[in-house]
Amino acid sequence: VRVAAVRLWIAVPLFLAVALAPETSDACPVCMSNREASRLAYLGTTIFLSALPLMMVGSGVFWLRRRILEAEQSWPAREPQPDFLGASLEPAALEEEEPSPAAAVPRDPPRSGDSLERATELQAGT
Amino acid sequence: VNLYARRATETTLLFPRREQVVSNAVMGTLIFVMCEAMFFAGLISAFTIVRSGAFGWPPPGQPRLPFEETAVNTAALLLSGVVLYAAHRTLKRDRSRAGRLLLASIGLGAFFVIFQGVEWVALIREGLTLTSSHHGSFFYLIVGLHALHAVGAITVLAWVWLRLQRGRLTASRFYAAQIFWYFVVGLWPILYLRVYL
Repeated sequence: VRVAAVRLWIAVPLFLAVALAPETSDACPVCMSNREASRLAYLGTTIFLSALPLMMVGSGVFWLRRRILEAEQSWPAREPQPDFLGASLEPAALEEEEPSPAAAVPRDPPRSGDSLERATELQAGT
Repeated sequence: VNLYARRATETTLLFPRREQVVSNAVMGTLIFVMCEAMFFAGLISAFTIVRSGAFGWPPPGQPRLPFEETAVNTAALLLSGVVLYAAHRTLKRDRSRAGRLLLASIGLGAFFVIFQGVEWVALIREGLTLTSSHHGSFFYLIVGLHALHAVGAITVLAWVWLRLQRGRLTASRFYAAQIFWYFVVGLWPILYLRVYL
């Protein structure tokens, strides 16, 4: 009982010191002042630096997903795009290529709901 | 049959033509711009904290930054971004006009960098140096790094213009250069309002 009481006498003041001391001193070693403006600047920049990468990565993923969905929806009506704008600016790339004999034959394109067997048949052209 | 392998086979069969939705040049530039945005965000945050702890800004004995004069410079840079967008809109219809617009955009960007240099010389004469105070350190670090990015982006735009003249410019490269320049242009008003005001 005695040992427990001594421990309590040590633990309580220690806990109070740890809990209350930061209220009366600059807790952060890099703080140059304990002014309210400085505290608000820390808070604001912490929020800013935390949110900015999430917003940028989120926007990037959203934009990529939208482009993938657009590409999937337009397939196979749209030809593969040679470049990001939809057409290369190089004169040679703008010239139309001769259609291959296989491409000239109209085929029912495979759809996303088709079975594997059906897709294989369509792919083989049978 | 492994379920994942079967799904992969189905996907390959159903979508045999793989189409690149974003070019490597554009994707690489976007990632680079994101990293640079975080870099400048860190600098702006450090500046904000130091400034909030100072008693009066600029510190005593340090010159005030030329806010009004730099407004002209800012307008030139913003106009450069608008002209580059006009070049992008014109590119498919009239290549020679797009080339002239691109050159005008480069010229406006060069004007911005040269004007910044003139401004720096005046400030150094007034006593604002990299070591004179926090004010000087942050000013030259943030604005200097932005100027370095501007020089880099102008070089890229000049390279794009050369390729356009030779008829060897691809859309993805033009887009990548545009993204870089729009980053430089879009970042400046934030720095201008934060550092100069």
